[in-house]
Amino acid sequence: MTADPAVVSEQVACVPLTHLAVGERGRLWASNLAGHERRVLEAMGLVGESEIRIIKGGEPCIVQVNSTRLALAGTVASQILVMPLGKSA
Amino acid sequence: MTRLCDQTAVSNGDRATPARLTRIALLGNPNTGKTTLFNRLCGIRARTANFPGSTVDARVGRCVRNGFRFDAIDLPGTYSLHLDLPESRLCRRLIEGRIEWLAAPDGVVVVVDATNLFRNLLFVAEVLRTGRHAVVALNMVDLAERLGLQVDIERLSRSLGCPVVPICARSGEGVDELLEAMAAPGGDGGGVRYPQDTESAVHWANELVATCVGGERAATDTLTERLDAIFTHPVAGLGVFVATMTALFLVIFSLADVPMRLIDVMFANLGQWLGGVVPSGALGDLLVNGVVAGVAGTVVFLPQICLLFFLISLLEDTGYLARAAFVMERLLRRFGLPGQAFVPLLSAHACAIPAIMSARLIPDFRDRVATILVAPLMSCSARLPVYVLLIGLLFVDNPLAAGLAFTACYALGAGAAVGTAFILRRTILKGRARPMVIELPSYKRPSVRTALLTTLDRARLFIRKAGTVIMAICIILWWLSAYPRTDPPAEALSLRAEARQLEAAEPAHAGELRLEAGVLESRHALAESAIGRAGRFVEPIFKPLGYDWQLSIGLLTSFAAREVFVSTMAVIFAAAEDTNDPTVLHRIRVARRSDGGPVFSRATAASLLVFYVLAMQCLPTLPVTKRETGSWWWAVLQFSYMFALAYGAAFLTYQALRLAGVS
Ligand SMILES: Nc1nc2c(ncn2[C@@H]2O[C@H](COP(=O)(O)OP(=O)(O)OP(=O)(O)O)[C@@H](O)[C@H]2O)c(=O)[nH]1
Ligand SMILES: [Mg+2]
Repeated sequence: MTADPAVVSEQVACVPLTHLAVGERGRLWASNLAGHERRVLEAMGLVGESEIRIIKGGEPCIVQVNSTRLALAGTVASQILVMPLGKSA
Repeated sequence: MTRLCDQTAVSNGDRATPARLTRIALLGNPNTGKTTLFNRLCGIRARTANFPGSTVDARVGRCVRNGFRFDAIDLPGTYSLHLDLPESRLCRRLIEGRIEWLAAPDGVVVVVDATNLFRNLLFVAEVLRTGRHAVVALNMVDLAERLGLQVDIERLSRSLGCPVVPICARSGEGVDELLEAMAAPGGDGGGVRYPQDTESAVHWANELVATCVGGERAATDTLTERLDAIFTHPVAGLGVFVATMTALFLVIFSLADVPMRLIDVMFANLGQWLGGVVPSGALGDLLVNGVVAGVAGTVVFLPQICLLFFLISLLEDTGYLARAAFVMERLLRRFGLPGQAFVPLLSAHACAIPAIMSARLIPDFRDRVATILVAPLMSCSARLPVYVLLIGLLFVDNPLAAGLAFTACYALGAGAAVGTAFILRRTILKGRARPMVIELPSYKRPSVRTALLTTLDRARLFIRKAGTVIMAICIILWWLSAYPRTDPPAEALSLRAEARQLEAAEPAHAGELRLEAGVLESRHALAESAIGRAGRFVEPIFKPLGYDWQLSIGLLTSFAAREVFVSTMAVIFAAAEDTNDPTVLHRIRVARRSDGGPVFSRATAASLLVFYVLAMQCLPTLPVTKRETGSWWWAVLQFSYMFALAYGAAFLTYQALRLAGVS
């Protein structure tokens, strides 16, 4: 889940999950979390290039990944970087 | 021939064919219905709830069904077999056969939530990779159907290289087919290659979902969204939580009142009938005043216990609790408790022991210990009887105030818990709570059947306890309160002599005198009995809290278990003959001190209430605390801290009320 150096230019467009507004979607890009916490989140469904939708902003926030709803503390959400995809239909 | 086939299967690779299945493990993500299936298979009722982490330990049950006979092993849900978390370690070690007290399973049922296939498939891949004989139980097909999802079972099964059986664990649909599939010899996996790392697993799972799941899933689930918007709103959500809890306690308090009185009257009649048929003397006394009164003192609260467990079970099944945990996280964290502490603390309202055990799902040690230490401050069901009794005394003709006071007791316990956590996190358990990551389960219609069965179980347990432990304590208590026998006091003797003289002239007055003498005699007998002496011995300790020696006896016995308090009072006051109303609750209410004043003055009742909210009077909790924290030191700290807190708060309550002129 770490960023590929080859596409660093794209990283400019990445924002922490906490920057997305309610209803906005983002594609999971990278996570700055430590190994253990990252693995837990991966197992919970925050993997690959999943599309994340913000159900509830603020701290803590609620996000939806596929069919999973996760409640994330602010400190965790701010470590997750996503590519904004705009509002969902 | 079969033998040959078997051997080919074995030599061919991944999967062995079990000749006879004897142990089947239920694995899966949290909250996928493993325990519901387990209960179905084994006909037991382990706790199920609609939030991740309702099971924290492995549990073995025997399944005998349709000619099958095997041991099923229910396990805590885990998101992966490779995490550094207790539930993950447990599942991993079980599969690898590295648990001393549990042999390795020879088959695995992976319970999968059909409404969340992608994430569940990541776990399926991990299990299938181990090469165990496995069957996938596609659970909650009822919910998937309602969402409009169609899973191509055939195709999924072929792609996974193992049988996939759609089931509904709640209704039992498909369970027989699951067993058939389990018993059928496993194939060689059809040469399926399972992904070896996360990245390829994600790809693989995505592919599978794309090819095997049809039907249009509504892009957004509007009802869930709407409910979540309210329940997780920082202000409205808090309001909903407070309102829910208040309603819960008010309902318990008010609805249980009538059945409680009925039971009380029933026991009173039983006592009178027994008193009539058994010759008077020690035996009759023991039966009526020891056994019947004592057991009645506990059993009258059966309606409250039933209602509490019924409502909590319904609430747990809805999926609301995870939302409440979300709302409370900020508050809890301010007091140094992690968001994951919410569910354990809430379930401590039923009983602290399972609550302490469920704290296992809190990953951080300090977070966990803080939660365990404060959990018994939450008002458990064993405190219910004392609350009902004392609040009934305090607010005789004001049901609304009584209901609110009842709720206030729960609030006081919860407040003391978070306050204590706050202090702990700034002293011996320094640190901040680990940030929360929890899954919000989908809302489900609560199962009334599950709730009723749970209630029935708890009711049975409660009655069994009343009929064994509590009855035994009452018999011992009766004995201790009846012996050693002493001569009646001089005052009573002179009253009786006077009555004898007046017999002919004023029979009514003579009767009154005799009654008065009887009261004096029974009070004297109790005071001079073994338990009376013990009570008087410890009375000085509890006097500043407003308790006389009779209440002190109740306090002493309830250190073993708090429910015993009302029964103790019932036994102690059963012999008092200054009342015509034989129901135990009434007798306790009108009990008198040695000086003639009421045992339960308002100040005393309030102080006692505070004491019971805060004190740790439950011996069975201590070894559990020790086991879960790994040290007796925490158990001892818990006990002494709570006693000191209860004593201090009760002292302040009593003295303040006295100063304010409340007697
Ligand atoms: N509608 C529906 N609900 C189900 C079904 N199976 C289980 N449930 C519900 O799903 C929730 C979770 O069930 P549990 O059996 O506690 O799940 P678990 O897998 O043991 O959960 P953990 O022990 O936390 O891992 C409960 O509210 C069940 O009533 C099903 O087939 N249909
Ligand atoms: Mg379970």
